[in-house]
Amino acid sequence: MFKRLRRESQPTTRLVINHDRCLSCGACVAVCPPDALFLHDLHLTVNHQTCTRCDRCPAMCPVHALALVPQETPHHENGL
Amino acid sequence: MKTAYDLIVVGAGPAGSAAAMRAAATGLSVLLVEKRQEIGVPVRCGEATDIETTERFMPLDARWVVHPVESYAIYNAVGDCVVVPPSSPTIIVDRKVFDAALAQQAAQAGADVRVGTTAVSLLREGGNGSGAVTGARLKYMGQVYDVRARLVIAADGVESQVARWAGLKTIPPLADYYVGFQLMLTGLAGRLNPAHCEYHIGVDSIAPGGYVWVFPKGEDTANVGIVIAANQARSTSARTWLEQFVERRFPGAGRLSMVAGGIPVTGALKNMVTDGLMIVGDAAHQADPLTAGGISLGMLGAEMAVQVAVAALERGDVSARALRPYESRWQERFGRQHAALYAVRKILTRMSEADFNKLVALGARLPLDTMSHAELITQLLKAHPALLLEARTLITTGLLLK
Repeated sequence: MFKRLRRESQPTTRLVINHDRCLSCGACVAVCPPDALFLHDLHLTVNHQTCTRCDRCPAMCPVHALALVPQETPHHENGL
Repeated sequence: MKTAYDLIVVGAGPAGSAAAMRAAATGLSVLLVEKRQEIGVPVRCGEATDIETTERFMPLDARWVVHPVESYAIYNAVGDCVVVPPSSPTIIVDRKVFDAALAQQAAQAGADVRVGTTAVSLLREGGNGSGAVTGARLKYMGQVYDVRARLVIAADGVESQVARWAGLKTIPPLADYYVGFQLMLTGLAGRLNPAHCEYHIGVDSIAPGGYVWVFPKGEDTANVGIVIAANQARSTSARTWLEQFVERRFPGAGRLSMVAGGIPVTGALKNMVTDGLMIVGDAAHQADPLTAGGISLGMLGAEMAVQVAVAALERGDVSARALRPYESRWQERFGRQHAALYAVRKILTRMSEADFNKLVALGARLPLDTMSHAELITQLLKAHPALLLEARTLITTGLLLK
């Protein structure tokens, strides 16, 4: 419980979107509890302030274009 | 530009266009908005739907009817197959043209249809964000404007923002979502039977918690798609599973299009109305809990919603209470059936691949055309005593789906 609170106040992970893969299908938007994912004009963005890093959207993505990575990971090594 | 309507419909997929068409036909003033710049694009679907429902809304037209489905061939992972006729006459459609034709019908019925127009927020009574819905704030070409309406119908798909704003959005567990991916393949001549729609089921080797479909669009072309259970999609993506299947079944095939999507397979939401607002189609989870098909269910949902809406508007009462009959009518028509289909999906998900393989192998040897349901169930139980555990559900389901 405390671990969880700490993680949420000082996030150790962040959500990254691989736009080379994203097909703008909206599946991730549909399962995002805090409504932190947005599909505007077929371009997906994430609000890192409201994202709770719940890890639902990476599983929901048909092409695995989303991943939670350690906060300090350089962008070009995000594993996607 | 007109800034007040009886009804605003958000989203011009099949459910939204059906709602706009039905409402406009009763003489209501209707605005149908679609955020995308072209209706029907991108397609997100296997494109199979039943003829009867389709014909309730528009006559069949060669521009979008691609192919009739004569039978379904259900394959296990080792190549045995059971062939069954569709439960109702089914066609493969070209969704891009189909969706546009349906929106055109709505326009012909008198609805104002506007593409490239996004709903930015809902207008609420009292302005505090929780009062009755009184219209929508829209955006077109960067310009934001308010349109008042006596009622709003949200048909903005599985990622519905409107349902969220209205507090109707619920997010089921991942096990109750399908993750989908589909390729339209070409160069298949001689490698498929155009009259057969194929389903391939194998929880370990084909599609965990789901299935692969091959829906022919002629002699040479087919939609080949997959759904897998979202809670089993973490290690390997739906795309990867499908590409493995395609590599085995249709090596070297050309790819004409690819589509992706997520579908909740719980059956429709319990709450589909609030003061001044109704939700229909995928936004209301109105998809088949087994096959995830949602074209005709969304259109029927829209039709039910409009029937209730018209009566409510006539009485001048669009409170949630006045709109509730929409929910009860849906439950009456589909509640039990969808609960049964949901149960069948759970059974299939629990069954091991080896057991399912045996089941299909047995079915392939039985004279299904001439057997009664009772004989069939007896034969199945004899071969697979483990199914006894599921017998109650299967029997109830068999009765319901007959």
